[in-house]
Amino acid sequence: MRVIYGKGAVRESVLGKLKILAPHPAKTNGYLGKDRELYLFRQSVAKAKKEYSELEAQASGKLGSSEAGIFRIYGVMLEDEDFLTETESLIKAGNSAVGAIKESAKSLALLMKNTGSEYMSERAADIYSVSEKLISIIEGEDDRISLTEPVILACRDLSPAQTVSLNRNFVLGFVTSEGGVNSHTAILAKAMNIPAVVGIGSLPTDADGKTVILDGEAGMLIIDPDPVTESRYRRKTADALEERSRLEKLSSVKVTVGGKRISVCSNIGKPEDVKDVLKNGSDGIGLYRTEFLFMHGSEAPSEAEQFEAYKNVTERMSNAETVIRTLDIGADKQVPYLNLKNEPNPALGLRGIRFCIKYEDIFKTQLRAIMRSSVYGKVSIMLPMIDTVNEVVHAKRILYSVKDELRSEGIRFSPDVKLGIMIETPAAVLSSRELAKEVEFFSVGTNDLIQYTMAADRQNVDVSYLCDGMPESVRRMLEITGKNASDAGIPAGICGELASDTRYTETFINFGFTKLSVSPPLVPKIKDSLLSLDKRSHELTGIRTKI
Amino acid sequence: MKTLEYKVKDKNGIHARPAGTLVSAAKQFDSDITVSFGEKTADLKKIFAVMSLGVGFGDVITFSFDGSDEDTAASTINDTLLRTGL
Repeated sequence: MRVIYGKGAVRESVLGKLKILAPHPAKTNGYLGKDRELYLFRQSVAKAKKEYSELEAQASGKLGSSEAGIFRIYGVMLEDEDFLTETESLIKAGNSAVGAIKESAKSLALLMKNTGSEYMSERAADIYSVSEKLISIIEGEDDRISLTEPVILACRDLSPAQTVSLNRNFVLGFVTSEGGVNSHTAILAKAMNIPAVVGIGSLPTDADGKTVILDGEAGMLIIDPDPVTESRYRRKTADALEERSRLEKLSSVKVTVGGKRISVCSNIGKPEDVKDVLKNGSDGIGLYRTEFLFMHGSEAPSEAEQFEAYKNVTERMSNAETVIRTLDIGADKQVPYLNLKNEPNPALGLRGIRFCIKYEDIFKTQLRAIMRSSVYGKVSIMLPMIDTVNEVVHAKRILYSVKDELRSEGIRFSPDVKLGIMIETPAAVLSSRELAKEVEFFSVGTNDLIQYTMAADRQNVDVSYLCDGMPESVRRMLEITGKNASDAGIPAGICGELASDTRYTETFINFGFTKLSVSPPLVPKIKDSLLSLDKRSHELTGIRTKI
Repeated sequence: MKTLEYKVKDKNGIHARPAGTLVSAAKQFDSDITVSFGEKTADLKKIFAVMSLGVGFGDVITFSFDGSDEDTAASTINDTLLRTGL
């Protein structure tokens, strides 16, 4: 048994047949004269640009627009004056197009390597990617990889183009001799969920055709595994396959309990999370926490920056609802540029909607960005930390003025954006009858609601027991909220941690909640427990149903 | 002539992605646009020149805009910087 180490790019393992891809030998077309070589070069640039824009569209569909962006960058590289001028002068000096491309790529790569940053040196791989594409176009070779059976592919490196156009049905995983964690191979492998190990150094050509184990978690390629190791991995792979097919079956299921449709949604903090939301079969995003955008900069995020983030999310969610919660920040979060005064009681201080009402500019910028993103998907807005009807009325007034502004600027937004509120304070629960008349939905933030109701800090070991599970007082809070929502005819959901506690799923449904929003990996579990609930409810009423 | 000073927030510095976005943005304008880092200056319309500056996290760079559309160029580049999270 031989183990070769590299960097694991995707935390999955697979067992399969190894196929080594030898690099194709350089073809020599012979020198065709300056004019012809110049023509070949220019034509290859045009063709490459076209291929990259097609790949961008293809990758965008599979992976989302930010991952597909690398192909747009390659397009920019192809238009770079320095690269074009350098290559063309080399051709005019008597070099073949292929030779000139190789030379100018080499000197540009050297420039990158000399910047001294590790990240930048890996970018030299980008330059080679682009130059290799040009060369393969000139040499008339199709650099796409064609496979006839499922294999674990091993090669020197994969260009983003090759990675994206791989036939997933035949690729069990791949191994490359080059590439670091920041290489496109690694990034794209992660996005496509193909197990991969990169940077193993020289390829084990003698293992071509053998059964090997690829462990993307540990970053290992195991050749000639001993029987114990092999059976361990076989079991792991079988379990993973079973889990994946179970998830796939559940992901398309639209759960109803006793005839009532219950949405199982996901909570996210940033656009990168959307991949997991979709993978786990969520019915939508029940809570998009926007604080992340505000916590990582030296100043407040601009409208443009926020708009890009919200658009990214809503676009990928398309028809599934995305509930965006406005900024829920307070003195307990480290946000230097906000200059928040040190408060003796941040949990009871200037936070959530109170902060936004005071700093109306920041609130308006966020609302503008959210409204602009609403044309790309199905957006709802949710206000945090609401105590009184006055706060809602005030916030609505600000929202109306934002809509007026956008209208007068000719900026489009959807007329169907719903406005709802978090129910996370006792005040909100006790005023929920009146609040239900002012908004279009409720979502209970159980984390804070439990703490404020029990007047206990979850993170204080001496009193956290008061916040465990669902204390009776909290149960009554939920009952009141659910009843007032259904009396007013508005939907109510739960987005705090308690939503994922399957001990209480039945209680939530009985109280009239129709949406549970949890962290993405828990979506299938909640769907499962709702489906059992539905099955039990049918059995009780004597109806035979096939689940 | 307009200038814009900026401190890089992206932990990878000016890597391919933001470089490409900035270069694409700069190319829309007639003005001469450059970015300087310490002693080195690069034409913002040339991606390799920009990438080879070796600008990293926390570095302060200065953009300069000179031409008929320098005002729009400066504000577009400013927006692009914030949008890419650089």
